[in-house]
Amino acid sequence: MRGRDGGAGTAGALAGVLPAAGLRGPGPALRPAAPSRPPRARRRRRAPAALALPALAVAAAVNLPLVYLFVRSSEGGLGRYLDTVVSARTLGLVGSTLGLVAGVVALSLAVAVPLAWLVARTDLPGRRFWAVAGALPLVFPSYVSAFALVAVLGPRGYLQGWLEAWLGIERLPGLVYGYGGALVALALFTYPYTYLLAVAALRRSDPALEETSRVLGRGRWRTFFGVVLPRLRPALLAGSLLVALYTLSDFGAVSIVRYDTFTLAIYNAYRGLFDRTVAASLATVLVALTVALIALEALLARRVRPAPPATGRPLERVRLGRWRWPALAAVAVLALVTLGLPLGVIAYWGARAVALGNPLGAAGGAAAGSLAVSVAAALAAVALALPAAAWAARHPSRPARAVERASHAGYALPGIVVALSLVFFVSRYLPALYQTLAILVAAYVVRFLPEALAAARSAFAAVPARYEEAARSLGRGPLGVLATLTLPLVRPGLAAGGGLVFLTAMKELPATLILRPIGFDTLASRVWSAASEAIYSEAALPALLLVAASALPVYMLIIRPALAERGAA
Amino acid sequence: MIAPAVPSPLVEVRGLTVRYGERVAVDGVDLAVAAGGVTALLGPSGCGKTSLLRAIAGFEVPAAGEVAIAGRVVAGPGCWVPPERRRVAMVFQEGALFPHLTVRGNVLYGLPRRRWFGGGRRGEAERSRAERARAALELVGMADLAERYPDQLSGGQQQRVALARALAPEPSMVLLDEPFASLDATLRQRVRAEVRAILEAAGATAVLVTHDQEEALSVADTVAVMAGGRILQVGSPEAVYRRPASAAVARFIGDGQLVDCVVDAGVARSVFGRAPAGAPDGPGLLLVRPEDLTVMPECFYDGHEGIAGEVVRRTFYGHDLVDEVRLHEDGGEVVRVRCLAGPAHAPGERVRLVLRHHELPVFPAERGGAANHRPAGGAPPPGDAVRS
Repeated sequence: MRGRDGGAGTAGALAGVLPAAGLRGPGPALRPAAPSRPPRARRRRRAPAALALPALAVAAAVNLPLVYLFVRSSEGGLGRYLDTVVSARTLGLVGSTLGLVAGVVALSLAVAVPLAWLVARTDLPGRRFWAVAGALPLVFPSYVSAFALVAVLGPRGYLQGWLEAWLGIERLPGLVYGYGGALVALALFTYPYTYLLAVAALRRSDPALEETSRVLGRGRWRTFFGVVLPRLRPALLAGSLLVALYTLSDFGAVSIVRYDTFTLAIYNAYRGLFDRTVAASLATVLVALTVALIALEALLARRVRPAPPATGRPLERVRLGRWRWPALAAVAVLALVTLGLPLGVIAYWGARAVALGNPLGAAGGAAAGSLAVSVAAALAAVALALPAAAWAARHPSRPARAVERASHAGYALPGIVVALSLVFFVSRYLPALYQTLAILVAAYVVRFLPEALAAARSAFAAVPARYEEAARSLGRGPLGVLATLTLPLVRPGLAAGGGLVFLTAMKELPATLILRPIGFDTLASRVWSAASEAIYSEAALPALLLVAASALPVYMLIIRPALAERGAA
Repeated sequence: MIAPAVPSPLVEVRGLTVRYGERVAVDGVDLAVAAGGVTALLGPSGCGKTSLLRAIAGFEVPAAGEVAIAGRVVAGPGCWVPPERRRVAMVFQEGALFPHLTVRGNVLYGLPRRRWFGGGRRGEAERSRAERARAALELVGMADLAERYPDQLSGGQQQRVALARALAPEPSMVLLDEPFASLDATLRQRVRAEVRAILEAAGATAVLVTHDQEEALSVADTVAVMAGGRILQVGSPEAVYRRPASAAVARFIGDGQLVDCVVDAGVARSVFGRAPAGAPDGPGLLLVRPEDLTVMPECFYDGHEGIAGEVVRRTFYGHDLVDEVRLHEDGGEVVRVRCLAGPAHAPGERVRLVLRHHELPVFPAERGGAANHRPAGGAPPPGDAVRS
């Protein structure tokens, strides 16, 4: 299809990428522009079993291991389960995890809102460039950003080396470890989720609303807080949910900066203790926290009123005046920290690795491993998403929506939970699969199926049944219509969904660490193990490959559609 | 206009019923469409007109009854011809142009290439295909934009391409499903006239579904009025407007009021006075349209017939105007009168309403007799841009 879908594209693309969007369908902020005319009263047609049965089977398969997690965690008896779950240790984990979530959400909002407003609504010099630069931190997985922080500010990092040469300081205090490091590593690299949604919402907002407020006697600031910010609320809520879920499920950054959260505790319990029931029990608490977060967001989002359709007028840009240069400086510093710092670290240590004669060999093997499992996961996810996507798009109904939503469980839950439940399930029922690549690919599919599903569904939905009817009345049979019309129209959407799964699978860390066969490495696992052992030169090249491989897809699949101007065609 | 007697209609629908679950959308409809010309299916939304059209095209399977096209039964008990083998083209509301194909590609889509037979004359077949596509595009005046993609066309242009695509395979007829509804009011008028001219030039038979009376009356040669899944009347536009078959049709088509009358020897007496009426003697309902009345200032009134009233509002439309007159007698009903722009009657002015002397339709009186001055139809006056 020729990509001229304007505003609907923004919502579609983000809805495909962002888990929260999938959890309750695109929220008000994300919903594509309504069709020009309300659809005719929907004719009731029964969904063909050929779609419904496979879709049901996929949804069940995705959820089965998660159900088993609860069975497994209670195997030691309820008493032992409660001993693990209701303990000072668990309570402390709840506190440290939620504390991190709250901090990251707050800091990411503090960065995202002003930045979004500057690039979307002011005459900031070079705002087109900054609009993209502001979203680019998305290309750094949390373990890469944490690695960069530790490598620069750590006790034996670059800064220390520099200070030693000048001041003779041999060791820096470990400020970068713990809460502060985790906060910065996560907030400065997840704020783009909120930022992209906020930019889209700001661009969509109707200038007439703000003009009305001004005419009614409110100044620019009071208009911003009285009209603009409330209209942004759905976008900020959706973005913050994403950031919160990301933080809750993050393993890479917290393990590198050694901040004790649930994911790290679960991993250590799984690796270190003989009794894996403890890991399973902790995982159930993490599941509960995730569900609670989603419920909270749903509660807050419910009070949002739908926006009236906007007039297509361009927005008036605020003149920054003498604030231009301070604003520009702030944006530049942000880009320096979020882009310059990790890229500089990767380049510096990469150059040293090459100078040391560190062979590309290890990184090359890991790259091949990443490529193989990610491609397999992408193909499998797209194939498995097809029935549910076609069902939901063509025969929208309560059961179709329920099945589609059920397929999202693995997406919302932290990767470590998915990995653990698969380990338990497979070692109990399918021991032949234990320690194989197949189980790793399965984990990726469970986690990222919704990305393929959302893309495939909107691809099918973009081919109205009317097109197919027109083709039929022009003399083509059902198979001919499929070959000459539906498939060519759906293919780009499926490719985008597959690309998204590929991209996220490449970066996946916790499930990879737990499920990979011994001796098998991906780029993500190489970066992580080298960075957590502070062997920075070994982390640099795989990190470089990872970032290089994901930069283009992130830009094409996420940033560009999200930033597409309304009616850019 | 009197419909010519056609021995075998192009489409014949007999006792057709279409159901969606419990809901009956089309309820035992009989309809014959003659070859040539445009037939409009006119009715409010949900009346079953689109379902009837889709049943003819082959997108709905009838629950009962049958559909025959050119003498061949295509849907009926134990018989089903899929849409692609009915040689019936369909034009949808937004055109439904395939977005991944150019204008030319869209038109070529319905002209399948011959694959196996034809052997050495393949190039020739391909040339004739291209020739037919070009001819279809020329017919609709879109040959210059053949390489454009649908998203680069205006709404009216898309609709013309959709028509070319439908006409290119030389179907036995074209079905149009609210083809103008998504266009804005001014464009709609123009595209409507263009489509009418194109269909005439192509000599095509067309069935048009619309809820817009003005559209049906101005575009079609024959109008079938539908409501509640049934066809109430089939006739020329003049016939359904001037001589509605029932009070229900009179209420739906056009503007006007149904007033109680008594017919005696070809003359209907009502509050407005006497009018010729071709109805049996006895009580009835007289259809009085706004253009059937004349407004006369009280001072010019010569004392013969007519009813006294007072102008409460006038609405000016340019080509004509409508006075709303509150009657002094008869419960103070408000009556709408259409006049060519003439002497101004200011609100508050006392006037007389006089019935023009031509034959008016009379319907059997309804039980309860509460029909007095009930406005016929809820339609706003012509000149309003939007009709519901």
